[in-house]
Amino acid sequence: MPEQPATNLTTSDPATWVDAHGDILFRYAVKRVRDRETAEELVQETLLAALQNRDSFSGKSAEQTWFISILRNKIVDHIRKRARERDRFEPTPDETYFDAKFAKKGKWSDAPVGWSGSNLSPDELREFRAALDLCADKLPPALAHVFSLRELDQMDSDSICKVLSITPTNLWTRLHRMRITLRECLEVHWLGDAKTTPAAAKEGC
Amino acid sequence: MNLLKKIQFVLNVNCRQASQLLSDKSERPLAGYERAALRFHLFVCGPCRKYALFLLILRDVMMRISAEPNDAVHLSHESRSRIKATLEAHS
Ligand SMILES: [Zn+2]
Repeated sequence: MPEQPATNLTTSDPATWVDAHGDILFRYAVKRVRDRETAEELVQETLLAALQNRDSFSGKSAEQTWFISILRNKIVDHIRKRARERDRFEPTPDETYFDAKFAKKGKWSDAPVGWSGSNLSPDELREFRAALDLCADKLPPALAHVFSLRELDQMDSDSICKVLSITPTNLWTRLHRMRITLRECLEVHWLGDAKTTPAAAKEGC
Repeated sequence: MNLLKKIQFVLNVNCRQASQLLSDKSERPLAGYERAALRFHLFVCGPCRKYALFLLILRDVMMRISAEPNDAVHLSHESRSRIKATLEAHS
């Protein structure tokens, strides 16, 4: 039997994985699924899958890159599964959703106000993120999924359509819906008082 | 869409359509008449300019969030031990 070449074609000892990579994988997952418990499960599934497929590790990429690619697939599977469960209860968003957001002749019912200057100070940024966190949690599942994939994972449209098995037009409608929903929520939770300034509310189409 | 339809679209585009185009702009290349309609609408519509600004801020913040390391986040001790035990059981 020919001896295995003593290169880095094999993984390190699995007993060291959790300490060496656990936090990195956990951070990657928690950022995308926004839930610690799910993220922990995904890390465990990832390391388990890595253990069972140790032979397929080619050593071409760093070990951590390999773990992350497995984790990424697990995350996408997780979101796909959740999206499928949700579709049984909530039909695909239809155009009527927008009827409440826009008045006659397609004008905003609740016009965006108070947004000025795109350069946020560190303080503003921190507050914005806190509000965004809250608003993202309130998104209905169909929109939360596209938020995770598009905004948090920065995945491109084509890949998201494949993951969720939806058409591009459907995805674009959902993204639009997700963005106007976030806008409304952030105006309340981030801009807060600024929104009620009468001067700001006057500006019309 | 024929030329007349396109011209009509550019001149009559409303907030509902303009905000969809603003969102679509980050997803697909807009057609020439769509870009023209958007530019024309933003020129005359304050609320949609605000919305465009909001989208810019959102994109900027999301890019920062997805790029930054969240170093303060750690696996809990319990899950650490649990995962180690699971790995050992399957080794
Ligand atoms: Zn408008």
